[in-house]
Amino acid sequence: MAEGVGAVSRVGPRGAVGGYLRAVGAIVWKDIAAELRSRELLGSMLVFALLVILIFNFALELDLRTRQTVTSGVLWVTFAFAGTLGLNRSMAIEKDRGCLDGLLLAPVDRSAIFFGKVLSNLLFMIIVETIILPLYSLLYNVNLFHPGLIAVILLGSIGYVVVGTLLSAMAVQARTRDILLPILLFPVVLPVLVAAVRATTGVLQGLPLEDYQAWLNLLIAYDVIFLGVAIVSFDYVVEE
Amino acid sequence: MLLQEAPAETFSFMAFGFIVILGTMGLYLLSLINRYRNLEQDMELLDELSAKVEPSVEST
Amino acid sequence: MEAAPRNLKILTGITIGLFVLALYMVFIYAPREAVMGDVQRVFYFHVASGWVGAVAFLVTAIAGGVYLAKRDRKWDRVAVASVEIGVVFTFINIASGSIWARPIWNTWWTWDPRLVTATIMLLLYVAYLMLRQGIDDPDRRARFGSVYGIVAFVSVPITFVSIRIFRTIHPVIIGSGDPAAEGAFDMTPRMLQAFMFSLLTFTFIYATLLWYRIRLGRLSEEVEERKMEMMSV
Repeated sequence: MAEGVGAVSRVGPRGAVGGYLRAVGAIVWKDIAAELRSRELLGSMLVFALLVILIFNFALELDLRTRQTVTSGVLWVTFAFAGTLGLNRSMAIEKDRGCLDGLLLAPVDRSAIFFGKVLSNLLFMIIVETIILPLYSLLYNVNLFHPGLIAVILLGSIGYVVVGTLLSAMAVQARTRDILLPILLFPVVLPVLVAAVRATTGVLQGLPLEDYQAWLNLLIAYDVIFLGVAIVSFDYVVEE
Repeated sequence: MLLQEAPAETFSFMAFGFIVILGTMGLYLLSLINRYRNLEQDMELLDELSAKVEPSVEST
Repeated sequence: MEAAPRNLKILTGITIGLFVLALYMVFIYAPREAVMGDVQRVFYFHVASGWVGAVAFLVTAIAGGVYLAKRDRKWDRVAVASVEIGVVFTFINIASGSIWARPIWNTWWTWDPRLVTATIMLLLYVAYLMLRQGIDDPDRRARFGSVYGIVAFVSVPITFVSIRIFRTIHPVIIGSGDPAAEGAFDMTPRMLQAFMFSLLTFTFIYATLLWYRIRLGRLSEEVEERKMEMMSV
């Protein structure tokens, strides 16, 4: 049954690739439209991120000297925490409103659903990051505007969101879904956080590229490997 | 490390280490046995219950 | 459930025999290490436990893949049985290593790549068990378990590499390690024999426990099914 549906979409009249991309786009657009209406996802992620930074401020006493060494760590912990909030909420909405079941009935390949969710989660994550970075920079008077930082943040966020989307699709179907996602996600994305923090530190301290190239390579390898794993296994997570 | 002639006296740490190793293995074994017994009890209980239920099922 | 099959009884007997022999080799046959003293004897079972943990999680990933391909619940029972044993032995590995490290490195804990990776691995598979506990539908539980078992297994080497880029002080006993690593030692032939024998013994312990744990899983499923039947009557 499921394979038949997939096959139809692949040989659709307007070409398989076009139909596939339209399906991905439709999911992303649906998420953006829903967010524009409710604003609950970005709102909570942003407020939460600010609170985390605030707590760090008092927990670590971010004076000038500590700031230089811990900035990247504080930023990535903030992104990771805010990220789980967003991932959980985004999948829980799908589940509760029955969107997931609706999407599964639609004649599209399952991986299109996955890519759609990954893209919209990535979009929300990047929006939060682009608001938090200048804000952090303003609050602590550190210059965070380096072109290299964009690459690091993008690579780190992709890895985080790819794994996060897959695992949140499982977590929301569990009884213990509110507490499960971070427990499932953090041990798996640890390499992303380690590499992203080190690479961010390298960029912010203006080190030559060779000094943190290894971390960038690790991020790229992680992204590629887990994109592959997630695409293959997402089918099994959403099938009913 | 270079000028040591006798081995360090670390017997107590060895003892502690093996208590943890063998103790953990023993605890796991006990947990397996315990779970197995509980399941067997459940099974017996289910057997008894179904023995009571079955005649009435057949008569209907 | 029927009594243990003959092969399992034989396997159990062999394992117990091997274990007694291994204890003999570790405590009496192997000489006391010249620098570290008695605590070095922990090393044999420490490494063997780590080996069992790694093998167990590999088996889980493979069994998960086979389950997803064939949808035979039998493979899921193998996967979850293996995770449980892997968690127990990874814990033994970390705890015994920590006890060894106290007199040798003068600290219970360091942020060495292997220690951290082992700990992350433990957390990953505890998360695996928690994921399964949160799902009631057995088919979904098996599917999610398989997926997470594979994801977790893939992430372990990457975690190791990521932490490896920091400097390590963990001694590498097998192969050409850094000779300056604190606590490294050369194995005498007798030590090597005791070490290899411990590896063999723990592999047998793993196989035996796995078999019993799979049977436990099957019995537990039978009980569940009977309960459901009773409720529907």
